[in-house]
Amino acid sequence: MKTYPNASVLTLITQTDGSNEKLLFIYLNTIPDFYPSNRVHWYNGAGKDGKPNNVWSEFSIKQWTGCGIDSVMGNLFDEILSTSKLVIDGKEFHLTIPPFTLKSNGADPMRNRRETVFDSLKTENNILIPQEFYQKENLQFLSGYKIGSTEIKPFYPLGFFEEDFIYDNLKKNIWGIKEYRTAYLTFHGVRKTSQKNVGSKEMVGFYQQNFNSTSDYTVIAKNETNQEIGQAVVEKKTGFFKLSLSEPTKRGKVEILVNDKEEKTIEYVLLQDIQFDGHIANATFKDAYGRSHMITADKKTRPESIPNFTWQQNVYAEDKEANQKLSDLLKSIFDYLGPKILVADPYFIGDIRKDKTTTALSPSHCQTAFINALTHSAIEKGIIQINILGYWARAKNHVENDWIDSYEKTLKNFIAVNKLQKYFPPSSINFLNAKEDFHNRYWFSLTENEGVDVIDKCVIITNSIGNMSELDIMPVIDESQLRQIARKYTGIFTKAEIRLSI
Amino acid sequence: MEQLKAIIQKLLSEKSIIDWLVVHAISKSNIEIDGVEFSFIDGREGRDEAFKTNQGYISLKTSPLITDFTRIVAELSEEFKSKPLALANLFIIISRASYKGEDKEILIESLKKYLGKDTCFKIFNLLIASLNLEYYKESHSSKKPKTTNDWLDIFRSAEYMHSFSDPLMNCLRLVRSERNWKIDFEIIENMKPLLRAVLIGQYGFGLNISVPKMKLLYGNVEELIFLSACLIDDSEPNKIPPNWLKKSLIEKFLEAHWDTIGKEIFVHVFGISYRNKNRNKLYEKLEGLIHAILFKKLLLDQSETRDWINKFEFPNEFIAFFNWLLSKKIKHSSIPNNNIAAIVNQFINELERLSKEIPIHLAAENGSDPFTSYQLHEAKYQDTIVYLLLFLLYATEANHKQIKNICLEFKPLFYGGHRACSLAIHFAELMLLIGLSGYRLTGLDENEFKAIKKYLELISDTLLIPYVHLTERQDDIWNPESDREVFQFSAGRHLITTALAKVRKHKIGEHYQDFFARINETKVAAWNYETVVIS
Repeated sequence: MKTYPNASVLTLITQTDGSNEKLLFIYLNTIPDFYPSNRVHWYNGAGKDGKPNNVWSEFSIKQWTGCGIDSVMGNLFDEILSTSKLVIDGKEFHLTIPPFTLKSNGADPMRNRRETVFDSLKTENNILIPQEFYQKENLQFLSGYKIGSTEIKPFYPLGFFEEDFIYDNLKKNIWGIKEYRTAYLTFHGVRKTSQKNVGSKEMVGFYQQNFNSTSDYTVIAKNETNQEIGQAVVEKKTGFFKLSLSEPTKRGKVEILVNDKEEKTIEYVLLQDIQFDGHIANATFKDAYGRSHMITADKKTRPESIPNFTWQQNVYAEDKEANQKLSDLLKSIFDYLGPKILVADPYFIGDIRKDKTTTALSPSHCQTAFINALTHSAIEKGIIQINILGYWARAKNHVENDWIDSYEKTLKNFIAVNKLQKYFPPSSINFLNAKEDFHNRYWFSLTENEGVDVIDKCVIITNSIGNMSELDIMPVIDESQLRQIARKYTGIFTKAEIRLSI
Repeated sequence: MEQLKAIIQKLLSEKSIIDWLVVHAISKSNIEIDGVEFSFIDGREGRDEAFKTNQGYISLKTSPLITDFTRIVAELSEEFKSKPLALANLFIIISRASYKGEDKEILIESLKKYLGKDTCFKIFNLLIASLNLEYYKESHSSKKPKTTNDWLDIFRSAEYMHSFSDPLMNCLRLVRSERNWKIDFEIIENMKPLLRAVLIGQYGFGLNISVPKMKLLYGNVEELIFLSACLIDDSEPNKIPPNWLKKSLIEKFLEAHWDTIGKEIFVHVFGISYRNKNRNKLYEKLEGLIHAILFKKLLLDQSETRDWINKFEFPNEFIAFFNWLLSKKIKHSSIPNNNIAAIVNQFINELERLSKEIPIHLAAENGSDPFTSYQLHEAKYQDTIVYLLLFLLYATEANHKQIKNICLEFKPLFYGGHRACSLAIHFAELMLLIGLSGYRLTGLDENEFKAIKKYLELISDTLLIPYVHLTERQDDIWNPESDREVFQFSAGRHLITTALAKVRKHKIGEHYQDFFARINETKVAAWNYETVVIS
């Protein structure tokens, strides 16, 4: 028997109002699990026997959660809305539901980058929702992302909602969401045959679907002008497909046809992982901007000082020129500080943009400049170690949850593809999470004193890597100022926890 | 110079407290003598100074001035001989004098000679009592250390307390003339944690402890915790064991103070700790002593042994425990059955504890991983996983039920957001890796194969479907052309596919047929364990 996931979880949040329950939020979510029966399973302590999860007694806010087969739960969702009734084990609960408009996400519900498509229920000025339920912090307690409240219990299952899911939806006047299961589609350009600035000539992908053995599944790639540039069969045994394209592509769409009928379409921009032409041939290093640099012994000496400098993106006529300048500037800092460096920036190196479908990572212009500068400095002057010290509690508002994965993937791929292992041996790039808050951005040099890393030089940087449009750099020369900064940051640095070592 | 003497004399008689900034007071008298200068670096306040601001210096520029000043010191010492507080302030003034020949410590040596050993100790104690209150009081507040690791944290925090002409080091000169890096325990005895930490953690002093003193310390828990941290902190390659490291001391650590000392040194010595990456003679001796004591304990079929096992925490102490068994070649068959059952129970109890703590980990701001999955790439963790399977072969029906319930606690996390899902994946990977370690065990009999099957069935019934469904969306699983580079964050997934491939090729594979069938029921992709070539 095939046990392909077929289950959904439905949860309702209600508030008692006399003999009725006001419906505050309703969410049907498809889950990656298999459910064997047509009966709805109401969870113990969250609906079973008609006993709800009393999450906030003071305001009589309750939660009801059940699980079942997708179609059964979808029907139940519709039935609850149409009858204004919730029936569990023979017990009836009358619901007060506001007038609403139902919106399917997009004219064509199958055109979506997500695995699931959904309907949303929207009410302008929904008077049913109490003020307390609109508050972000209360919702964080309810969603399980904050603990320690004596009054609020978390929803079941724990972590079911993303941190601000309810809050963000309520802000848009949405109080109900019904998700539909669709197949999962992912693909990316083949890096080996990708041409720089042109795109990929081959594409591989995976269609995760409960395949019907009698149907034919075809994948078609189209370019920006909607012309077909490749077609292949999806292997039903593996979900894998490989497309050879008649022209290189960076932008277009991928369609899945079942017996010639469209089942799923995803428009894409293939974000290209940054690539250097990379090889360091004849003592020449070609950088991210296509420039060649001779590597000669006389370049090994490090500068003893660096001047104050201001960089502004819009001063330059072209982005490329601005970015090159930024990279050169950052390199001069690395040259000055190396070979052991500590970058203290609460936001690490910012969020690396990720395409949701292809999961390809695309560093921003200044992240590229940062990596280019680091590489150039490592090749020319040598870098033994670079430590990037951030503070997650601050960064999390700007950086995705899976930042460690993104950093690791970007940098490891970059080193591997460009064969830079000699310049970045294992453990030469470390990301550390501080245990205490800090705000300013300082880049330091580290020197070793009796086996202990000690802060030596310091440069003030006025902006974070990630989304830089202007930047001032100022070396700290005043001895007492340097000592004061160094003391604070050595403390933070030594107590920090290594989260990633490359 | 007589004018200077008069000013110092007046200050010494008036001061009713120890004044670490006494040089500032002298300079405020605006005295002007040729060749005598006062300096205060930049005079600004800063957290990097022990007393918020620089103590200041009195520079004596010529030899006659030095001679004169030495005479004044002698006269004032005589005058205040019966007033230790004044002498302590006089000492501070001397310690701030800058002159040619300072490295020979002429002034301090002459003062010490003049006062005699006992008075020097008296003044030293006064100065330390004051430093206990004043030293870095603006920037450093340390809680009272309650465990070995608390002390190690304080050592670390003191490692960067650099200060030129450190008042603490100056004070040491009063009571010791040695230039080596050993210090008598009595000297640090009255120091508060930060002062001790600066000496041990920052300057790297080792401790001399006499036999009678050591006997006394055996009865002092707080000092035992401190001594354990001094031992563990010495992880440099050339460290040798101090003469006070005896079996009886380790016995005390392990038997009487497991919760505060024993378990922590056990983990530092046998578990995953950066301190045991460099081998040195000290750690070798610690290993030997710990082994001798615990081995005897483990083999005894008694309730005390099981009480000890019942305190093990997962993962750190289990990793240390199993790597101790491995490194000392202790056969599991030599362990009494009751103790084996206790180990199995304790592991399951720990999983239960972690399942109860899910709310804490979900809410943790910094993202929390109770299974420390980021350490899965460590050989010690992987060996622990094999041992866990070996011991779970002894699991009872009740144990299996308990495991299933724990799996059911974790399973709904797969239905949630990113953080919840990560926790579920970490847990599922641990449980799967345990089950897939069969190919690393030899000499299994039919009953043991059945036990493995039973375990795999539990996992298949609970965690397998969501794990397989979500995991196969990763490029390294579905894409036969993937580079399959191993990342720290994907180490668990990589270990699982490698184990699947190895089990498949191994003769034990026939006992995993049902499990592979269960994966096949759910998976869509051609997982790389079917294609990967195992070297």
